[in-house]
Amino acid sequence: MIEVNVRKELVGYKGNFTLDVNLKIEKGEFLTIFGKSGSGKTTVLRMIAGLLEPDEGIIRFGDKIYFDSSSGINLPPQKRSVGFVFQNYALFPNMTVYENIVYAADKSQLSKVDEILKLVELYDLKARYPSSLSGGQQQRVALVRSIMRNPDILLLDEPLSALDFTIRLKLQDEVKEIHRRYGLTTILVSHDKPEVFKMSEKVVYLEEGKIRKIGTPREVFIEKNLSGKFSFFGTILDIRKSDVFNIVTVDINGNLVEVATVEDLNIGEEVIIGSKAFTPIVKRL
Amino acid sequence: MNRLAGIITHFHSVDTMSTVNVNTEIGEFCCVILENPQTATYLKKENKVKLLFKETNFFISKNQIYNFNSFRTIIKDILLADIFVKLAVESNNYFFCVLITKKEFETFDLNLNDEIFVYIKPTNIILEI
Repeated sequence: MIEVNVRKELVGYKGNFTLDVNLKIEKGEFLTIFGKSGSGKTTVLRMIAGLLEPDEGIIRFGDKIYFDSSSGINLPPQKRSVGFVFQNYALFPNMTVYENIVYAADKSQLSKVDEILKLVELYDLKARYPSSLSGGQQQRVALVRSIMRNPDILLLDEPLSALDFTIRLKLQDEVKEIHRRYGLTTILVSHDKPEVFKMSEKVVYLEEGKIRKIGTPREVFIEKNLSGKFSFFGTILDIRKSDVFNIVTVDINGNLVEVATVEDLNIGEEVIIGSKAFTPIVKRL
Repeated sequence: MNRLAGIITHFHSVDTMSTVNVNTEIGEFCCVILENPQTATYLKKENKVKLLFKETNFFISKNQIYNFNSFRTIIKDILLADIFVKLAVESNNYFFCVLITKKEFETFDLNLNDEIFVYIKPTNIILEI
């Protein structure tokens, strides 16, 4: 089990706030830390990896202590068994795909390289340099490199957010397959609800440095406090007056819908659009 | 959205669908939800819930037609627009917003302080916890 119980004073765009996170992750689990920009998601990953020191707390993987402020333990990143994939790939531009991956690998792992390259469809590209690869291909290289040392924990910091929709869906499947096949314990940072829903077994909803909700994606996102089954999260894009109504245009994951309401709402607000499951019609296309 | 607090007095589940009876200060309401006690932890007798009614989902009448999900109200305010009419109605010190079309308003010949009965279908009530 991984225990992360840390506190750190942070400076956010609204001012100072305290990151205060206490969570336990089971070995082999796929957990996502979800939250808006500036909520402290990436900071948690960086503290687990040893790239940032908590003010106080403890981080451990089973019996292995990575950080313990009470006993002064703070292992450097290279002493922690952590794989880290960043949003911006972070590959060596002067090395081929194969060299980028082998650079991070133990000698005992070299036989595994070809197997993983085939799994993520990079085998035929292993002599190529990063600059000649697409964003999706570069991120696959970064992913393979991060697991070459059989890390205790794989940390993914919004690795797919810069990729287009189709490539992102494919890479989500590949990340899940790699997580399953190599029995990894994975922590993903994401602000994309469909991605979180597809990938994770457990979600931590972080807001201004505090855990607001923790549970399965269904518990965190779907089991709202309403019985309406036909309900979606959305963001208000436009409000116009019409007769006694406010006609509200809401973006629901790229689909725009209009709702007539008398509620006083604001553009930019996050809302739940809900209806009884008995109300919508279903029509064959 | 209109809200009315109440307490679950009875429920009956078949598969993942349940009828739920909720007692409130203006009467007993019955609603149908696509949940059962396994999928919704709040579905227990004596649990507090709120009933949510969308303003456009009310049926109104001058006489009581239904003896359930219906309550007597007095019209306290009328806002006339071109297509809809917004009524503020009061029942046992609870205020509700009711939106009806101008056609309904004219057909019922509604005026301030008139008594009207309001009915909401069981499939139109959302439960909020």
